[in-house]
Amino acid sequence: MERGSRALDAAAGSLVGRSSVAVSKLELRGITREYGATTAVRDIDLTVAAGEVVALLGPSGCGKTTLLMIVAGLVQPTRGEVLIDGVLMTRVAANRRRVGVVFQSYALFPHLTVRENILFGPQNEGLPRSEYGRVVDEVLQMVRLGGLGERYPTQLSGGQQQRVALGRALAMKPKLLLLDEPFSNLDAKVRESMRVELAHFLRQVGTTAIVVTHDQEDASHIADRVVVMSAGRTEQIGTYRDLYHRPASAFVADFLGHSNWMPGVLNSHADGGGRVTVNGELWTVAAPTVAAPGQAMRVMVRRGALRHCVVTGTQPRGEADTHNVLHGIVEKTVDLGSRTALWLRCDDVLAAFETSSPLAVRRGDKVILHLDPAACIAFPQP
Amino acid sequence: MKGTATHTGMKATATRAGILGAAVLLYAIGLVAPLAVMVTSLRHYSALGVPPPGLTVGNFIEVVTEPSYRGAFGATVAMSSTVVVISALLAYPLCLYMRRTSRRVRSILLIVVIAPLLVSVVVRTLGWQLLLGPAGIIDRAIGVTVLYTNAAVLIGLVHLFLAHMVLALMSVLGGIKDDLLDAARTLGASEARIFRRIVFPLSLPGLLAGSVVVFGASTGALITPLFLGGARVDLASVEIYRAALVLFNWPLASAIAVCLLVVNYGIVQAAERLLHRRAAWVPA
Repeated sequence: MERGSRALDAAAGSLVGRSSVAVSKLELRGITREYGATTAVRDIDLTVAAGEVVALLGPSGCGKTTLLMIVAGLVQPTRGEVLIDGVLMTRVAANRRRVGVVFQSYALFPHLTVRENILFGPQNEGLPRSEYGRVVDEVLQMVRLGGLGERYPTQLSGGQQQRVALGRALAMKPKLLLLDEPFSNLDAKVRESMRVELAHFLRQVGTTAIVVTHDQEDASHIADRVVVMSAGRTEQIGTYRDLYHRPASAFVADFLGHSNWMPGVLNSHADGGGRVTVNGELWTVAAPTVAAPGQAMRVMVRRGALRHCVVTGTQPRGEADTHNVLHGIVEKTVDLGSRTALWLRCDDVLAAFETSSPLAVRRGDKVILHLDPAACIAFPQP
Repeated sequence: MKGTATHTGMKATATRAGILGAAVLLYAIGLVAPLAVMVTSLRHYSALGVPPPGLTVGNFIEVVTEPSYRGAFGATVAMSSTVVVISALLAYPLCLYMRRTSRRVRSILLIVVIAPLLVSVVVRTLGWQLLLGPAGIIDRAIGVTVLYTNAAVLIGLVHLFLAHMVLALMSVLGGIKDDLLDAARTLGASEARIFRRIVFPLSLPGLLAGSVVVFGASTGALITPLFLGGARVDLASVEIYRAALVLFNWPLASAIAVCLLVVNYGIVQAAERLLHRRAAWVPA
């Protein structure tokens, strides 16, 4: 893969060097799409800078694919505007937008060879026959499919098909590149390496790109910024790191990473932080949403929040001052090789934690967990 | 556990063999019929008394040299080709529409297409006689008696076999994913270009399959040409019928049948070859 990436570097680099790829800015203003009584996409504002890679992340049915199709011109928004490089494109038909799309199914033309698939876009724009060879060679080299030009799509592996789809979209020098769930047809192992390769490839090509995915790992690996969507709305926009550490809503907090939810009551609130009583202990937490003391809260605790785990009564609790304390009974420990998972029962909540240090506890032990306050975020109960 | 699985497997194999066996047996018996026809086509014919023993190619020479028979073959190929072209022209837009319309409308249209298949050929043909004949609805409306012309046979055959063309085309056109058309749009193709470069080429296997079925069925149709063409429309199938059941010249009837089989086979082969050249992408 290392060697492959370097070859990709050189190929993509040369492409950029010849300025074959247009790099455009995208603006979406108040995009809404209604289907009868249901609203698939609601009032979306988004600006994607030239050369930026943005991921639309959300569960299935959140409207992310509809939004992508609106950018491509394949779906008309009920309201709102699409601008590319400041030019209004809302009413411009898909075949005049020059927006490349890599479909979830790849949508390769089964009756055309790889070469003919790649040439389909340029031919529509009247590329002279004498240029065919050069364009095909350039694209095949870029997506590392040299020698496969005469194959039919059915004769290729899933990964190869994806690269044909990518090459076909790039062959017409799109202003934007849209990718719909690019990894959903690949198995887990291939998926991991393709993620890294695609991220690298998009940087090298330098094109403005939007990637739709339901997988936070995809988003974290590929995108400069992530747009978390839920029920047709944007929940939060930011870098993956921002979203992970400073989620603006319970939805974002829950969707990114693995976490537990504990009920609590707010004691005080100030500057995005607060003190919450959880299971009889006073916790220091982040609290992005303003709430009044006495408000019922739900506190998200990341699995990685675990700092110490001690059996009850074996240690004075003095050092717990800087940590949040959680009492419970060990339900199960699982050795995951590099980490240990701890399942803890505290009242009616079964919470999961992970730590890389060894745990000397057994099922049924009464324990005290020390949790990192930075990994505890409270939201008002809905 | 393993024993049970093997046992179930054997049972399933036996059941499959049984079902398969019945089909094979039917085909084996069915194979005897054309063979009998072929042998008969080589026998002598005598209008009175016992025909002389031995075999002859005289019947074939008569079929090939007699202008009326050659004319019948020409008319059959021309008629069947016209039926194919007209059914394709009627079925294609219908199937394109069915591809795009709602599931409800699609199933209604499908019923409309299939319903005539449930009515006996004889009843349908007699129905056409009433419509096309003297004092029929058409006659009264525009003063033209279509019955007993080539046009009447053409109408009857198209009505008879259109459903086959629709079903063959619908299976390929319905199988074209919308993603492909969307992809073509994003790649800058106009709707006309999408049809020419994506939809039509992808529909070719179905179009050819439908054409072969409709062509073969049209060449063999007897009741429709007999009832709607009367004595004026001379097709190979009508000649076979006359030779066998009017003249009682079974060897001659068999010879015409064998020639029709050869013509049919040649045309199906040509279509197959065309399919393989134009649709190399179809997985073998």
